Amino acid sequence: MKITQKFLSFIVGAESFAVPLLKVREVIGMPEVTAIPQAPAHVVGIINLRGQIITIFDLRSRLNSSTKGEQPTVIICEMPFGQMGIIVDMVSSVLSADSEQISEVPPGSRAANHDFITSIYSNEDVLILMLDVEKVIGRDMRVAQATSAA
Amino acid sequence: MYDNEIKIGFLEEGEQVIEEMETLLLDLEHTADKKETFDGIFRAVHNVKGSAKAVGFDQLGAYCHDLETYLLVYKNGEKPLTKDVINYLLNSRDVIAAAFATYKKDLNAVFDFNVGSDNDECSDEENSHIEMNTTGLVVAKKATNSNDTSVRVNLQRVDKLINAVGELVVLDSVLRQQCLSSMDQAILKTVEQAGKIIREVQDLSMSLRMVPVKPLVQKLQRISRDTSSSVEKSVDFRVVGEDIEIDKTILDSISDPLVHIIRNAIDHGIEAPEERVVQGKPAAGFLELSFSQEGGKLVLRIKDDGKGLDQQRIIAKAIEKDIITSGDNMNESQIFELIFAPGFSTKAAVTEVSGRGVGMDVVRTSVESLGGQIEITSELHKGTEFTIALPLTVAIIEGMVVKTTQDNFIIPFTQVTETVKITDENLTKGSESGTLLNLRGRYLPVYSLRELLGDKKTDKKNGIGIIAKSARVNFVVLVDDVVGQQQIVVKQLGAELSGFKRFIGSGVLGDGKPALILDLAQLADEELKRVKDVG
Repeated sequence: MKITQKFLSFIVGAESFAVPLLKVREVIGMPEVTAIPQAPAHVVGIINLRGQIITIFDLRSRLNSSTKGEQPTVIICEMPFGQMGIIVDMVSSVLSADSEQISEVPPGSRAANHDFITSIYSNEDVLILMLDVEKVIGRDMRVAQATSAA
Repeated sequence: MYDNEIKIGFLEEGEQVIEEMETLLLDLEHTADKKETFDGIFRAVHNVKGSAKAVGFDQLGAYCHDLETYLLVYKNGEKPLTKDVINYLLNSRDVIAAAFATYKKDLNAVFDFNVGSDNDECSDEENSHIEMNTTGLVVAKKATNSNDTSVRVNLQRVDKLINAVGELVVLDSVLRQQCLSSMDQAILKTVEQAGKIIREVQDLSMSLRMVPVKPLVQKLQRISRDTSSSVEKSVDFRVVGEDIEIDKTILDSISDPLVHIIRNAIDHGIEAPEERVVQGKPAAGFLELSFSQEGGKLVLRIKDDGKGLDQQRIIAKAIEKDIITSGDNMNESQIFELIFAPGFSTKAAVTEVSGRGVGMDVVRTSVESLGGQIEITSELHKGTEFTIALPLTVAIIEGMVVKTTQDNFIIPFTQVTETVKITDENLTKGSESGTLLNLRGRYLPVYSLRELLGDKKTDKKNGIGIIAKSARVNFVVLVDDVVGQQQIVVKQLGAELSGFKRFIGSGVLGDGKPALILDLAQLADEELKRVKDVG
């Protein structure tokens, strides 16, 4: 049986990434951000999204990408512990991926070092890295706690 | 099989009935109209009995039936009501309450009603007669209940509403600003009207969080009664202003501290009756709890006429517990403050009543975490008074908006004692003393908010000094400017930022930008720790 899952794909630096569409609440343009003093570099700050305060993370610096897109976009994700925003360079498209198009991360590759990259989508010459947003941010939570404790 | 939903419904309704029964039982000791109160109790038992049998809690039904039989003798005035009887009835009520709690956990639980009724004197005939009589009363009671139209709403939903309304208020002020440039009278008028309604909606939504203190008062009355009888003291516990409504969150968090203070007052404060008589005081101790609203604050006072705090004993104890090294040069209020220190307890023996490991330090922490303050005044042999001042609500705070480098921050008004203008001239700087401000002859340490927030490069010393108070010290926080003040709907920061203890939460400013709410005491503590580590 063919299982098709939907993903939202986006670009950070020169690479394409994707997150499960079910995790995405909405996509917004870059809002006005209030910085958080002494937070790690990739914790950009907080925004006011229709009365809700949401923390924004910069996926670009998280993924060590130095490029700054001309029109950065924020993807608001639904997390078990609340909503969270991630800044990406550009949102590409909604992707329908069949299960056979998704394979595991090649062992020994650079991507395999990152536990937040769960799998790889490939279709002809397109290659997209599947992200586990919770893991990306989970690391930041620990960083934030360590910084504050110090 | 009985329907589980009906059972759950019965348990919820029944809990209210038995709560009511407790109030009535406690009233029974004081009220002049014993007959009516007693009838109320009888009705409550009868109610529970009937419904319990109907939904299939046969054991509970049988227990209530026995209790009803016991009550009947007193209802008919065959025997006088004594304190023992009331004690017995209170115990029975507790058994029923315990049964409810057990059933709530497991609807098919078997509860041990091992408290027998020693009274089976009534004939069946008489019994059924009374039942017929009371059926009428039960119906009448139900009719009055249906007039009480209230809805139970989840607190989260209320908070969501308050959030949304808070947003509406912000948008309204933005709209007003934009309208200033508009000349259209019709639009201006409509905006004005809409604004009025928005403020009304805000007041209404805030009031949804308010709940009566009655249930808490009732719990405290019971605790006072139980505590005084277990330590064999007689206490006249009075409550003033119990009709007040307070914020649900505050009510929930203030309950334990109040229980602790009241237990303490009865156990440690009020003397034994013989001792009181010797001192020329009435044998019964006096304990008063009052609720009042004073200047935008909720003020609770707990006052007793017991032996008061013994300053010498407190000092001796504090030295013994290594809290201080010497009691010299301490004034009265500083000495009283010591009882809030962690690990302090004046009674040498841990008693069942107030030795539960919850110290006065927990009382103070609870009060302060709500943004409140606690103070003690006490006179030896005359009594002690605790004054707890709390904000009226925790959902909205009055905040001062301050400016530093680029972003604005919010400081809760409760943390600010006063503000002063600071220039280079009124500061003293030294490499060992740090920066100090001479405030009317007192030197206070000055921290720059920029430095506290990690901006190392700054050496700006002009601005506004905010005099703040932490548990230990008074200090000054230097900010660039005070932008204004506004009501802030407090929003919790996400879990990913919970590590930052120095931010209480966040709020939306008038221009729609989010801002962080600072905890100055925490910031100063962190700074002190950092300086200590470096030194």
